[in-house]
Amino acid sequence: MRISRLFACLLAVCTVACGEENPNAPSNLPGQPFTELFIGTLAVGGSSFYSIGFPETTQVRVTLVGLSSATGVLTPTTVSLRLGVPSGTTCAPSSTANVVPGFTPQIISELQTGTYCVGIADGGGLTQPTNFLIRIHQIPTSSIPPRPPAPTQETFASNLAVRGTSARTFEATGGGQVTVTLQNIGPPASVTVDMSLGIPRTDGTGCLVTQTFRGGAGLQFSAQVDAGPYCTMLSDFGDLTVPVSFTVVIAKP
Amino acid sequence: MRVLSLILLIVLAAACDQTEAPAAPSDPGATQPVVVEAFNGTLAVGGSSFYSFTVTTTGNVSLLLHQLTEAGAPSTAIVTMGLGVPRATDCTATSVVGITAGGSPQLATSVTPAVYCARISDPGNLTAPVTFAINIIRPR
Repeated sequence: MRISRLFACLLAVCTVACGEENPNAPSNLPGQPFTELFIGTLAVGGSSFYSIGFPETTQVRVTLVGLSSATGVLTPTTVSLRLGVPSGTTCAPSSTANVVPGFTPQIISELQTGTYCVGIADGGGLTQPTNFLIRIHQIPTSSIPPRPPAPTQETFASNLAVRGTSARTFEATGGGQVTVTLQNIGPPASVTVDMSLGIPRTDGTGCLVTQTFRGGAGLQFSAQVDAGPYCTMLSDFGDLTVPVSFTVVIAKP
Repeated sequence: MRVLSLILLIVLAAACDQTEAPAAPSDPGATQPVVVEAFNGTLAVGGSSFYSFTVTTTGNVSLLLHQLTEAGAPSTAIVTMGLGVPRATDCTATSVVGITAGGSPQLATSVTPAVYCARISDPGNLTAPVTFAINIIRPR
């Protein structure tokens, strides 16, 4: 069962909390892949943009990861995602795509040194202001690996408190499928929890959840992802009466 | 004597023309073709606004805040104007000045080809929103 409300609440909360962080321009190190999160609220009929810059030829991968209403409901609406150059008070697009949220990039472009912008606009599908989360992954072409690395697996074993959460960040070193499995949980073994997939905030202070499933031991879900950091989170939605231990196995590219 | 008076009159008239034509670039235009972009808007109390533009040849960029009005009347409030590069959801200004509206560019600097932005903000002096008009004079 997919739980969209949790994601939307988390995204909404984060949007409020992070909205003022965007003006602080991040800095990227030459030769190193770099990820920026563009978080904000899109008005009905409105648009918004985020400027990026890099000192060398760079592959830019833009992913609209999430959309949610202010009241906490996931919004699978189609919006216009753009990549272009800042011009006047807007972003003049050179690439445009009508997209719905996902974990794989909707726009990929190789760009020369310079300043560019990522924009989002309502193409007429919104009926209310909508929170958005866009990941902008910048990979200097000199650092793109010639072959994708082999899939790997890692184990996340920890404890979950009553009404608590427990999260783990992991890195997908290439594009492909991520599979998250709740191998065991308990005692008692019959408890159910919410297990989520999302992307970590760039300052490392939380997990922006965009997909959540509910279940017990054996719960498993998969998602197609791009290279980059992700996080999985277990949370008690109210089923636990005592703390439990769990083991989650993450298979990733 | 008549000739001297006539010369003086011409010099004075020329000086007055310069102050009454704030949109005309002064120095940059003398050596290379320029483009003037108008950045007009409303500045909220404590707010900021920016405008991005592309420079394709090395040259001088000048910013001229030639109009600042509050409720239709000229404002003498000091605001902050800067020149920088667009980053994230704002303009990271590297050259910043505190200014009032005037007739000649308050900020000028030489630049290389790239995308730049002009930024205006209220450092805490406004008590009501103001409308502003900035001319961005850049190489063609």
